[in-house]
Amino acid sequence: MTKADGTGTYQLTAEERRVAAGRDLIIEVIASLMIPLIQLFALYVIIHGALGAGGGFQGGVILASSFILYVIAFGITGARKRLPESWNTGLQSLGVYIYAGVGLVCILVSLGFVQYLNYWALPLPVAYEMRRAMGMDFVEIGIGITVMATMTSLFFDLAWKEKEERKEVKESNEGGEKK
Amino acid sequence: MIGIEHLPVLLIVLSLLAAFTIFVAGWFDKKFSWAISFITILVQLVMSIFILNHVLFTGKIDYWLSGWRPPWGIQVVVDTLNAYVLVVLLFLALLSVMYSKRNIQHELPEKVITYYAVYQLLVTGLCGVTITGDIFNMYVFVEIFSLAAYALIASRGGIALKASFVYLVMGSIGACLFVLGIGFLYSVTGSLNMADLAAILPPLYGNKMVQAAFALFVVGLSIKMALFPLHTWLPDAHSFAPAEISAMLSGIIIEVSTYALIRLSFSVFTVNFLKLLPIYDLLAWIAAIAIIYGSVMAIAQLNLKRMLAYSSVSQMGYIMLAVGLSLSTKHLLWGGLTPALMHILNHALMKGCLFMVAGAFIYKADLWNITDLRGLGRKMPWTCGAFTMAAISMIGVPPSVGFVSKIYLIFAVVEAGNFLFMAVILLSTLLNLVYFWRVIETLYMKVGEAGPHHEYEKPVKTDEIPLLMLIPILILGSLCIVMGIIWLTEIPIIGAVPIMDSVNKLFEIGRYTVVP
Amino acid sequence: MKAESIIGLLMVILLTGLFFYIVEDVPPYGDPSSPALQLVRLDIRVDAAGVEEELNSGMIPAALVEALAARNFVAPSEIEEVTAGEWDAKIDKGEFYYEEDEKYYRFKKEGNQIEVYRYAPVVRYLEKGLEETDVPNIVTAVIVDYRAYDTLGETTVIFTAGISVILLLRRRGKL
Repeated sequence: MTKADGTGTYQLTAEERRVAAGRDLIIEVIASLMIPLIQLFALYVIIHGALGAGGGFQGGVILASSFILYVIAFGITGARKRLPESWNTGLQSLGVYIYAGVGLVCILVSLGFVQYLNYWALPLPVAYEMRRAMGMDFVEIGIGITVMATMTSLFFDLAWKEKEERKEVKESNEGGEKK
Repeated sequence: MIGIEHLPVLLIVLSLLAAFTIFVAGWFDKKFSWAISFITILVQLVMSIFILNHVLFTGKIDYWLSGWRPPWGIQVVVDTLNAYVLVVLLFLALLSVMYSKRNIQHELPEKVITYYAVYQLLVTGLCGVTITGDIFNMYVFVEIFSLAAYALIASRGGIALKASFVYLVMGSIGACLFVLGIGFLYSVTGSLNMADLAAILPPLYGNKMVQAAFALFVVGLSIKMALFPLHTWLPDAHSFAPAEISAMLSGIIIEVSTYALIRLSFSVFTVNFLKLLPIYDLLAWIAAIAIIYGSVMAIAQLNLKRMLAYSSVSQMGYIMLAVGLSLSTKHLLWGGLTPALMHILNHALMKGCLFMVAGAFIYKADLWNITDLRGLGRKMPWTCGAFTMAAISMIGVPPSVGFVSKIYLIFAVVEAGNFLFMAVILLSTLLNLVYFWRVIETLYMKVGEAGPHHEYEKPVKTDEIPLLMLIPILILGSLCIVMGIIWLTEIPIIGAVPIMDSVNKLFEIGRYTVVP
Repeated sequence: MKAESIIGLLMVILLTGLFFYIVEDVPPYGDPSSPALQLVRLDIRVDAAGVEEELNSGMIPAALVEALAARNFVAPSEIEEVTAGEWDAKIDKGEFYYEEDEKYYRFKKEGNQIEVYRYAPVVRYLEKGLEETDVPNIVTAVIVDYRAYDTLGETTVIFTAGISVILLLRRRGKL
């Protein structure tokens, strides 16, 4: 805020900050409405893969696309704060841990009687066929998590690289101008 | 309790879980990544020795994944051929991991965690190809190890990226042809299981889709195993990869592709199909050209790793010549697939040692060309000693391991009656001598930095590589001679000859040939 | 001409030649009785003389068992007549929970020989998939239950691709 005698710092208003960063108001509002709905739809697609079209791979990609929409609307630094690198790494491994772990649980719980990934031996208190369906649900969730984390990690790597290159080009331009 | 039949799949699952754990635990501390990788591969090696023991003395392991019976579910079949390739693979992978600790600290210090995670996935993919009994499953694991290999070769950055990109394009085309062959077989028979296909295919040998599928399998796997006309990715990929990845690439990855071709042509398309058309004779001729071509191109190289890469092309020619002659030989000792399987182990030992020594020279003083290696024989005596042992083994001096391969191959050629191949083998021995002797002469007999008078007066201080890199080189170098003595005297403790014999009996070649 | 265009032309000629070579043996597109969808012909035949009465009365003829065993196929355990001249044979699966026999062979009488056909694996997935796995979507049931190991491999491929990009492209940060 400029003070009465002309000293003080000049702070940008929210509108000017947004324009300076290259973002648009309409896209921000629509994205902030759509992103939770996209994520809800993605979870729906993962779980309902057993009843209709869908499944782990499809739902995982839709979940990743919600993060990509966030990056496009709000910029990448904010997105990295929302999904930090440690969480991304952890989720990438967690999904396949669930998948391979369900198979190992099948062997261990039945003391080596059933084979790997034979879902009947899971210790769930339901009938046989429903145990198979629930085993499949666990596995689908695992696949969805891994696919989502991998897609966002790929996108972030490529987008950071471009951001670094743009910053390098800008700095070399400024350095050229200063000279 | 958990019986031994669960071991093959548990081996794969353990490796997968370790890869993911390296990725997560490395976030906390970098030192965990090497330790987890090393311990996992050690445990896997012990498990694979148990599997080999069980398969040799009790019978093959037959495991129905997810509990469904074979044409409907996936089957894991481990017989002696599988178990043998698995042990060779994991042994060389263990020595590579041991070697890589100091090497990767020196070359890529900031990428240690992801490097070991991708390395563990490479080992997973290779083991998965070896144990499976279902052709689509084999394709999935071929994809896993191919992707990991592309990433590992390119990990140094710079010109390695271009070399890996060429490998990526050619490898993807090869995998594409492979899956096209699987599709053809499926559309004609409806089944994806190897034993099932072997039972359904006999009346369909005249079917053009089946013949096209076999041709596509051979070409697709030839790209992955660097057989002569399709080898062009190999020299670049070897020259610019980190040293232990070159050792793994040349010693294991192209040999697992050879194993896949042997498994497909003998277990799915049985011997009766291969005798209908002179396919294997054509393969033997292509292999003979590969032997001469690789040796001649190796003489012309200045870069040490590139020379060893062309030498690999030549050695794959040896293995494919042995495979191509396997239908026409009937002796107990050298009949059937015995020379090919022996050379898989021998080549892994020799080339592993040679590439690791080349990496040691680069680690110590960044020496890439042969002419720069002058006088290193005195500065690094143990390393150059191991190089000499592996080099004389490649040339074929008795009683080393290379001599055993060549002599069995010559006997097989004599029995098959084609004396031109014997001339090819002897000529390539001579060419091997030319290019390896050049390196040995530069190492030991050329003068180093000290002038000609000082060499005899004052002792040169030895400046060896660290111990963790030296132990794998010494183990491989000494095994080149020790294993040769074991092969020659056929000590039955190791069970080497019973392994090859039971493989011959399974596929009905060699001395078990069914006379129609 | 550039080298790439010559190589491209060669590949087109090669693939066209491959196509013309195989086109007479390709099963017709969308054919519901192709080998991968319904029945594959095993080329095992037996004289129909005494075998037909045995099949009609539900007994398993020894000649058929012998002919099947000579080609490494498992012997049937139950015969059921579908229409006149065609019989379904079931085998004992050996699986743990579903112990009933599964339809595996079809014997058809053609002329005075009995021909043996085998059902494709897809027939079991379509007919018994809902009952065995309680999941209406057969595609999901096949990839996550019957062939779950392949899907584990595919997920690992995706994970490997993600890690490879981290290995090659990231330059700052902990990994």
